Amino acid sequence: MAVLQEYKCPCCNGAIEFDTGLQKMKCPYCDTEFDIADLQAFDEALKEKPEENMQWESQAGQQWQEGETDNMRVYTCNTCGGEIVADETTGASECPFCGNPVIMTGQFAGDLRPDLVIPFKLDKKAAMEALRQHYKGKVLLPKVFKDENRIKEVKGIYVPFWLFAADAQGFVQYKATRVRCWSDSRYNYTETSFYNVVRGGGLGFDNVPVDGCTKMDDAMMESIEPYDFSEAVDFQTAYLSGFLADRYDVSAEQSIERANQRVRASTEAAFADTVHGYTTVTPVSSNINLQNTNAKYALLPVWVLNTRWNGENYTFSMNGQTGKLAGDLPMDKGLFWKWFLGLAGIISAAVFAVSYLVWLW
Amino acid sequence: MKRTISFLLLLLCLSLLAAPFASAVMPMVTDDASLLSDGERSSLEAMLQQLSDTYSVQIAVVTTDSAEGYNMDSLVEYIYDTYDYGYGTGNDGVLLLIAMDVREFRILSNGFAGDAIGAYEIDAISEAITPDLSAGFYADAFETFAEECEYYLEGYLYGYSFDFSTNLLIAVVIGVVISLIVVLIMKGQLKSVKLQKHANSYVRSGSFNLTQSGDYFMYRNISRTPRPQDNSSGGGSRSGGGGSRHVGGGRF
Repeated sequence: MAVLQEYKCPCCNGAIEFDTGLQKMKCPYCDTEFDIADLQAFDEALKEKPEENMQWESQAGQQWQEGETDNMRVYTCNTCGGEIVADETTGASECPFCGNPVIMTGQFAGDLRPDLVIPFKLDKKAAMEALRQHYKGKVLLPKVFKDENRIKEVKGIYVPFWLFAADAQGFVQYKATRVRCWSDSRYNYTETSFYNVVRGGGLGFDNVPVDGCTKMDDAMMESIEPYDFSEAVDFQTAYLSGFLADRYDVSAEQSIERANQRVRASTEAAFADTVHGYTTVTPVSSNINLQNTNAKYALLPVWVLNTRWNGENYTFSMNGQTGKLAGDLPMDKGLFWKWFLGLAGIISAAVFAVSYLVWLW
Repeated sequence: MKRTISFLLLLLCLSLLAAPFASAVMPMVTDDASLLSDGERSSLEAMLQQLSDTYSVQIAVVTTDSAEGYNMDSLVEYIYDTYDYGYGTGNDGVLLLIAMDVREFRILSNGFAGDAIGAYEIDAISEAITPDLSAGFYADAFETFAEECEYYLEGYLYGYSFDFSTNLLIAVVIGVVISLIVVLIMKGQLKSVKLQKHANSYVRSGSFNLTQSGDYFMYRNISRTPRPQDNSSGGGSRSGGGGSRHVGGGRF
């Protein structure tokens, strides 16, 4: 069994959680607030304590088949002793029996220890409110979806990200043309001047995030960017208390390709912005070198809202720091055609009426 | 006395004889190039006659094998003036002249007809008849010419009628296109999940430095295309004396 960590209130021994509003740990039972650093020190001291061992063997139940438990980990809740079965990547969760927040410290130990974490700034209520705002102004959203919408679950998840930093050195070559037209009494003339344009230089990138978790959709995670990394702090497991967390299951090496694509696109766009005064500009070759590269492992806050409608799952994600929410919504096909035909009718009638008035006038 | 009476009788007879010639001026259709069959000719004549009577404007067609080297604009004016086309004191009339050797045509409008059918209308009529002329459907072309003249004369006198079907069609097309754009925008609002193309939010501020920048001229291409020779000759217009004259036309 893997090691589990719970943060207990030094005053009342209740399980304490990270409070997004205070940006501190707070005991929900006795309302005592703790600074993360203080708690960490206290926690270190507690680690010296020998662990209890009160386990016994039991023959009840069947053995797991081989391979069946490959993707599972079993933990024992420190508070109630209940058995917590979790995914092998789960890093923070709550006990299904006593509801206390638990952190699987082993998931963040050694090489797996994140460098940075951006603590949640927005709470569950903000996520629900953001979703309501998300529905607003969407004319083709089925009314039933809005009305019947009971969000099945709202989860605050620390999603593992790789943050890539690099100095990009680029050299881009363009073919450009400038076109001039004039005419005399007999001919129209078109003069096309061809240019070879070169641009070279450097551009620095910090913290380009790439989703390191296969459970989260990459496009969804990129849709709620950007994050403000000036608010990132050194990782402390305490921040995870009260939220879910996963450890990465996509390695930095696997993620680097995605970061490169974005760095390349941005570098090329920066150079292209410096090419002015041409009719057409076509990039011929581009050479991007990355220097001083480094990758950091970070946990970023994401609220995930799930709902089901018409037999389909709809997932929304909200940036737990900025409140930016993304998630595709279903379309009411009937409404689509109603709007299309209605608008076409009204506009046609209006145009026709105007043409008649113009004729009368 | 007897001589005087007989002289007066002669004068009366002469004037009676001369009267039809004076008023009947030139025929509606003068087909020197023989572009029309007898049947086509007579039905065209009947049509033009009826129109001419209705609007008191002579609408005539002249075809000739050869312009004999004359400038078409001058030729149509020469024919119109020399043969005294047009009705009334203002010589109100429209004349379509076709010369087969140069394959050109001109439309001249004069007097009241010149007010109703100006340069713009002549261009429109030219455009309407050119395809039939090019294809050799002369009878059809002349019929179109007559109909167009009627349309503009009628429009000038009583106001143009509202073209219901064309206006409706245009209105529906505009309505459908705008509506489609609007609903597609609405549909687009429902989608918010997509991969980011750039990493612009993560560019270290002020880190962009351009170390190499060169724009090198390679070569130059000049191509020329002949200007589309205006198929319709500009023609001329002038006004004066309670009416105006316009000439226009083109090749076919």
